[in-house]
Amino acid sequence: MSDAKKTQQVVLVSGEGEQFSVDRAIAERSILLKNYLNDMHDHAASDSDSDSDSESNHESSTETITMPVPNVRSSVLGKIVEWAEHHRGSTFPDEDDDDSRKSAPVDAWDREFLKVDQEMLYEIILAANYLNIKPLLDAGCKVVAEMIRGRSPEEIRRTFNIVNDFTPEEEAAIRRENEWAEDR
Amino acid sequence: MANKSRPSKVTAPYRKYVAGQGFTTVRASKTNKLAGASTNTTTTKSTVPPEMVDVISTPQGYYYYNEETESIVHIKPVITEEEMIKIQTEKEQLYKDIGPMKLPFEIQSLIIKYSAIDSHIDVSFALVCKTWYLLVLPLLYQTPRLTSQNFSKFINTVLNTSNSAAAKKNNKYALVKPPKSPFNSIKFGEYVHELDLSTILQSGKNSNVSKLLRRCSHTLEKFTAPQTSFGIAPLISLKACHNLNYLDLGLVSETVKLKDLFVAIKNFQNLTHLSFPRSSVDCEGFQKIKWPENLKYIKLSGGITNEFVQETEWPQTIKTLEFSYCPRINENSIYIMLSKIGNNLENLYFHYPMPSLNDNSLDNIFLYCENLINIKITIDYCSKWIFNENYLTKLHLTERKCNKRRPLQTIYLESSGSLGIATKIHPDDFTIALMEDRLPCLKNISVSSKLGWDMNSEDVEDLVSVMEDQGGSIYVTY
Repeated sequence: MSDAKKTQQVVLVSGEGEQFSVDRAIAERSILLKNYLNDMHDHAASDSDSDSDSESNHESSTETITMPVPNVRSSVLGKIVEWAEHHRGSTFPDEDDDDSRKSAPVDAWDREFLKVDQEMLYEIILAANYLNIKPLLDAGCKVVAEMIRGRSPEEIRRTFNIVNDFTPEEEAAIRRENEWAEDR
Repeated sequence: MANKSRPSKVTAPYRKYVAGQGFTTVRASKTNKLAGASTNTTTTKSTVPPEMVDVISTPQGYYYYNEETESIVHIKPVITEEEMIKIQTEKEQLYKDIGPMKLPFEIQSLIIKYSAIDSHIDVSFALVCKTWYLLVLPLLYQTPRLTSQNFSKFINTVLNTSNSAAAKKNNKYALVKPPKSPFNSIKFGEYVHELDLSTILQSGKNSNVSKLLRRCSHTLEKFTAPQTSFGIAPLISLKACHNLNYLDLGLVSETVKLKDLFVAIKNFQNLTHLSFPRSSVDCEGFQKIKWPENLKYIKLSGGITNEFVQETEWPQTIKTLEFSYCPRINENSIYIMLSKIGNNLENLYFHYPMPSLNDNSLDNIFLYCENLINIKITIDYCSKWIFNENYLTKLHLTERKCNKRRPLQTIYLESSGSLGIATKIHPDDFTIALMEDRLPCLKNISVSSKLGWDMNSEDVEDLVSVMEDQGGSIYVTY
C-alpha cells in the first residue's frame, strides 16, 4: 500500500487550468494537500475497505487524483513543483521547533531558486503559506528578511505597501523611547 | 518616585477640578449655579471663548483664562461633519493610492522574526506602522544589550512607561499632557526575558536595578547582576522574579548575605543555574537556608567558609560544580562536600587560584566523583598520581552494571605558569593511564601551553597515538 501510495500520481491544476502531474510523495510536501489526500482518498478507501472487499482500495491507489489548486497561478505552481522535486529526499528541522527553524540558514539551492523578482517571490511565499509548506515559507521569509535588513522605515513600507499610521509626534516618541537600542 | 514638579494637593471645597476646564474655584454661595454651568461646558463639544479675552496658543491647542471661574479653559477646535468626511476620504484615498498590502501581517510577522540576528533587531522596524511596532517590541526587548552608555536611556523607557498609568493619575492637575507614544499601556518590562547587567559599572543605582527587576519580574528568565549597585533592595526585588532559571551574581562586589539571598530564591522552581558573588559573602545563618529545588549548576566563589561547605545540605540535583577563587576553602571541605554529592556530578571545574589548597590536594577527586564527564583541574593543585591506579580505581560494581566504565570524556589541564610546577605531570602519566585502560572513554585532552610540554617530543607523540587509538585527540590552549 505504502509503495503504491508513493508512486501514485497526483495532478495539480493551477488557477489557469494548467495541469502538473507529480508523485504523491512530492505533493505531500504540502501539508494542506497531504491532509486532503489522506482524509478524502484514503479515508474513502478504508471506509469502502471495511464495507466490501479490498477491490476499491486497490483501485484508488492506482488511479490518479486530480487536485485543483485554484489560488495559485501556473508559473508559481511550476516553481513550487520544481522546489518540491529538488527537495524530494531532504529533511527539514522539526516544524514545531521554532528555534531550529529560525536558526537554520537558507539552503544555497533555495537561495538561487528564490532569486526571482519581488512579485514572484511574494507569490511563492503566499502559495507556500496557503499550501502549508513550512520549509519553503521559511526560506522565502528569510530571504525577504535579509532584503529588508538595515532599510529605513519608509523603504520597508514601500516594500510591503504598508500605510504609515503614525503621527509625527508618535514617531518621535517611539524614536525617543527606543533610543537605547539604536547606536551599537 | 517623588514627583517634585507635581502641584501640591488642594483639598475641596476650595478648588475643584473639572474635566476639560481645569480648576474651578467653588464658592460656597455659588456652588449650585457653577456646578450647573460647568456641566454645560463639558457637555458641549466645542467651547467658544467669550469675546474680549486673550487666547493663549500652545502647540497642544488654544486656551483662554476664564475670569469668572478662575480657570483655564481648553478651546476644542470645531470639526464639522463635512470636515470629518473630508479627512475620512483623504485617508481612504491614501490607502487606495498605496494599494493592498503585498503580504498579510501573518507572514510579515514571520519575516520580522527571521530578520532578528542574535536577537538584535533594527529599531527602524518599529517605525513602519503600528502593527509592526507591536510585533517588533517583544523582540527588541527580549534580550536588551545594555552598556554603560545606553543603560540610563533603557531605564527611563522601562520605568517611565510602565509608570505611565500611575503618572497619569498623579498628573491629573497638569493641563498639558506630554506627547506620548501611541500605545500608552505598554509595559516594556514584560517583554524582557534576559537581563545582562555585567557591563554596568558605576552608572547603575540600587534603586534603578531594583525597580528594573520589579518591572521585568514576570518574564525574566536570565539575570546577570551588575558589579556594583546590587545591594539589599535589588535582592528583595529579586524575590518577585519567579521564572528565573539563570542567576549569575558572579560579578557582584558588594557583600551579599547568604541568608537573604536564599530567602529570595528559595521558591524559584525553575532556577537551574546559580553563581555566587565573587568576593564577599556573609555565610551567617546558613544552617537554615533552603535550596531551590531544581538547581543543576552551581558556581562557588568568594568568601564562603569551610563550615558552610561542610555542613550545608547540598541539593542532590547538582550536576555541575565549579570552584572559582574561594580563598578559604581547603581540601577537607571539598572532599566532605564531594562525599555527599560527588557521584551525581557530571562536570567539575576548578579555576586558579584556590589559595588554601596544596600542591596535591585534588589527587583524590576521581575517588569521589565516579560519573564525571568533564573535568577541569589546575596543575598547581594535583600531582601526577592523580592518574594512578590507586585513584583511578575500577568503579564500584553496582548490582546491575557489572562492567561500568569510567565515563570521563574530557580533561582540561590548566596551569598558572608558576615556577616549578611544569614538571608535575608528564605526558607519560596520561599515556600509562590510557594504556592500562583506566580512562576508557576519554576523547579530549586539552592542555594549557603553560604546562611546558614539548609538543614535538616523543612523549607527546606517544600520548597522541594512544589517544588516536581511542578515537580521541589532544588540544593545546593558549
